[in-house]
Amino acid sequence: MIATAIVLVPLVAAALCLIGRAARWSAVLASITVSALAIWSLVAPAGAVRLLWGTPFRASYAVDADALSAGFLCILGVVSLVGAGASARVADRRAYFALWCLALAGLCGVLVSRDLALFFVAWETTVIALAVLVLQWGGHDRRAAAHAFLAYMLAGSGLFLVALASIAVARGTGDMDALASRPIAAAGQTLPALFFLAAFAFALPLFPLHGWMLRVYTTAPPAVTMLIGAGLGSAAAYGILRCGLGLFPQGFAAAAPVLVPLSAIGILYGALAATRQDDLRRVIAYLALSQQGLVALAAFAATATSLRGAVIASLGEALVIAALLLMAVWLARRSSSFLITRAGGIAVTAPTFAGLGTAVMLAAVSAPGSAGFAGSILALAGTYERYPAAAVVAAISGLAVAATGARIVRRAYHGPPLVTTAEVSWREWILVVPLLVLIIGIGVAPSLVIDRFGEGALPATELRQ
Amino acid sequence: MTLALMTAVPIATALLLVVLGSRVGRSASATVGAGALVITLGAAGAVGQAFAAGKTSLIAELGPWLPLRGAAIAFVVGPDSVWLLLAIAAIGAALGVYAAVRLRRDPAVVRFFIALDVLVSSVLVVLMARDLILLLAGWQAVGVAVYLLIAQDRGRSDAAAGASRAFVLARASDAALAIAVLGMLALFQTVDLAQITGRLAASAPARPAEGLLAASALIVVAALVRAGQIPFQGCLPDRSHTNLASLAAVHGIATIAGAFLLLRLAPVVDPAALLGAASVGIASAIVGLLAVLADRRSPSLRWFTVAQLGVLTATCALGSPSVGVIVIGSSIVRILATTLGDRWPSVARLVSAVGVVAAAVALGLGSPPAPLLAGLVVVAVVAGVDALLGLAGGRVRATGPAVRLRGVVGRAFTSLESLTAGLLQTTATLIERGGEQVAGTSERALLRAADRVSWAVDRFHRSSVWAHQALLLAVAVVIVVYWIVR
Repeated sequence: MIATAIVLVPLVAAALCLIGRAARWSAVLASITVSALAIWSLVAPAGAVRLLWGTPFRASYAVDADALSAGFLCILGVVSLVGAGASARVADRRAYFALWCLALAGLCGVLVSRDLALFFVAWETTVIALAVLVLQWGGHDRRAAAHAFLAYMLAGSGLFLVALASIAVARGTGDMDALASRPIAAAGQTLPALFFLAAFAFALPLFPLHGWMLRVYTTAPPAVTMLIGAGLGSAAAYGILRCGLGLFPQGFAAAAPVLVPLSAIGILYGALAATRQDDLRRVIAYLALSQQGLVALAAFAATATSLRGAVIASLGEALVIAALLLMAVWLARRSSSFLITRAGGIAVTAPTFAGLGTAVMLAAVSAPGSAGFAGSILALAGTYERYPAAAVVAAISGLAVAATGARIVRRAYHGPPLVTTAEVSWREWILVVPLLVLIIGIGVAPSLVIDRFGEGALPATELRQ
Repeated sequence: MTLALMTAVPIATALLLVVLGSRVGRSASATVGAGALVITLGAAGAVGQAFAAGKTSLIAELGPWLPLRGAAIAFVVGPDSVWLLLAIAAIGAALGVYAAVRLRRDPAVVRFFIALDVLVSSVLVVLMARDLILLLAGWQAVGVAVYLLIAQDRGRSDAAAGASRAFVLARASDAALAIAVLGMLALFQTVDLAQITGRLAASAPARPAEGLLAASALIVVAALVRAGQIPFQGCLPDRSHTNLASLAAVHGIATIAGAFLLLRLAPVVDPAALLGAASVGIASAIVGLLAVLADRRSPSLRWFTVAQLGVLTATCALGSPSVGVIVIGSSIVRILATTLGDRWPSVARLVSAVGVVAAAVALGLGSPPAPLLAGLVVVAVVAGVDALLGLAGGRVRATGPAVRLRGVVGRAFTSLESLTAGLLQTTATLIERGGEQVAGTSERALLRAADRVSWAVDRFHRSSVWAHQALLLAVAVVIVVYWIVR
């Protein structure tokens, strides 16, 4: 029942947004409720709900909020809360927040679905809602950005649908647990594994499938970017773990010699490209590409340690992207530009704001005590067992990320002041504190999340050994 | 529990200052920040007392941290490290009390104490961590604390540039240590230092040579970078970068972490790598002492630290922590005297030189390999000359050949410093992308090369969009073909 409630609450909120006046509050309350329900299911798992839905795929309404889903849901609720809270100055609020809640409901559906058809419906709902958000509320290049986003996502979805339908017809069910208990022959897993991966690789994104990323990050409203980068990105990581590795472990093992190098190249490419950007949104896009590459690398390495690392790194990365986007928006508001060359010396007039920015940047470079540190150590340690060269490349890439962080802090906050800015307001504190608390909390006590993973929560890695 | 208290109190205080520092005022923040360090010193004193009463080791296990074999939040102190523990806690407390008195009204006092508390706690974690993952966390936190210390004066661009440079170099040493830890984990299937030592002892002499040597080399590189040994001495801040208290903290506490790393990991590091570290340390000590001698009027603090840390690195690499206490004690006298007061330069110089001579003699008596012994003799002689000159104060005037020799040595070290500073500057310029710091043609050529790479990256990105469009077409074809085949 909890899983059903997690999907229904944002849907009800979307309806309320359309008919009521307090659209933003509806979105905020829906986000809080999603997080609260996720924590509840983490503490007291309720089990799966299964109702037969239709033929010919024997599609069913099967939902469950187990520990893996609940961890992602909890972070999704917080990111959505912060994003909705940061969307204070949008036009046509009712439509905006209704679409926001629809996207949130879609993401929740992705994270609780136990049936492939339901998963697909939820995934497409999310993609379309996010594309409309970009199209209607984006910047000057919004049409091209929405077109690129939708084209890439639907291309992946097309392959996903083909593989989904084939497997459901062949096996007579789309139930993930049933499919996982009777896996298809190892020799036949590679193609469906790659087709499933396509949907998630575009959304993650996996290098070199990131063509939509820069355009969307620089055009979409930052709050929507937050939902795309943190929400859709972590849902894609979840999809790889649950649908990809969970159903086709041997298929992914066969493709790993290609996927692992691609992930390592993506980590290095994103980290190096970020050092040469002046626009904060582009910096964040490249950093996200690099961090998501680490998540993908750990998932494809598929050891017990690396899979746990992938989960922690993905959760931490979602929080860090949200925090970075918040700081970018507030910095742009203070300096009238997203270019770091237009800011400068903010620490002189707003020392607390500069301190906050430095703290977020330290979290982005995976300083000890942050979720990024715990996630990257686990991901690298697990990856090193099977692919040491890729793990070394990923570890060295951290140097370029550190250089980017130091450069942004130096340019934006230090030196002679170029602009006189305001200090952190109480509204800004309310938005950023939950993110920082979770980043530090997961970093200091990752076992709070990891220890909840019971039997079968993560893909069985022994199949590959 | 006392061990946990020693690291937890400064970290908790730093967090408290982050949250409340701007609200409670500078004086109160300074008092709280310094108070935490005094409490740490008291806890260290209790640990020392326990060892004096007959304890041979203390262990504090707080609980699991990461799901890796042997990884936990646990600390251990043995008889080798208890004196070093006391030394670090004492330096931290002394520096804290000094700053609480002298920097009470400084606008940056809250930031200073946040960084200092994090620094002391991190170095103690490096010294006491029971496993490699916690040690790595402490090691990386030292780099963060150094960055915060150097970037104290936020209105100055050069301070921020120095901080950025130090941070990037610190992350380089972090990456080296992280890869070494991954290698160790893969070799021994645990990160617990005691278990790794036990397995190495059980498998001796048939050690897993290749992987261990590579990991050991990376550990040595990480330690040498943090200790500012040649050729990494340019990462040490100088007087132009930050205030004196921060300078004393970086030179007197943070750099020592490099030597501590070697001390902690000496049982699991390949002996050849340790010998390499000791050789670099002794070479750095000779170069540093000669540089200090060449510029007697205003000797560079950076070269002095290089010299002292060179001896300390050799000491820790050769496994003589008790000798290390002598070096730390004597070097701290000079660092504090040079940075904080400069009131007793002759006495401080004498004390530090005598400390270096004593350490060199003690290490020499430990029958090291012949080249190291020769190096230690040179270190002792040069430090002895430094001690005599310190004793003589300003009464000695060099004439004739001595002046020429000093001039040649001075020019040599100026060139060496310029070379490493130039390399670091080029790195910083490339990172910063700005052309304002570019001085020479070589830097401009490197920047042009970097810009070409950037252009290629952008070009690749633009072309990759078209590649993706082509991919979409291919995807559509695959979908149709797949359906037909089905």
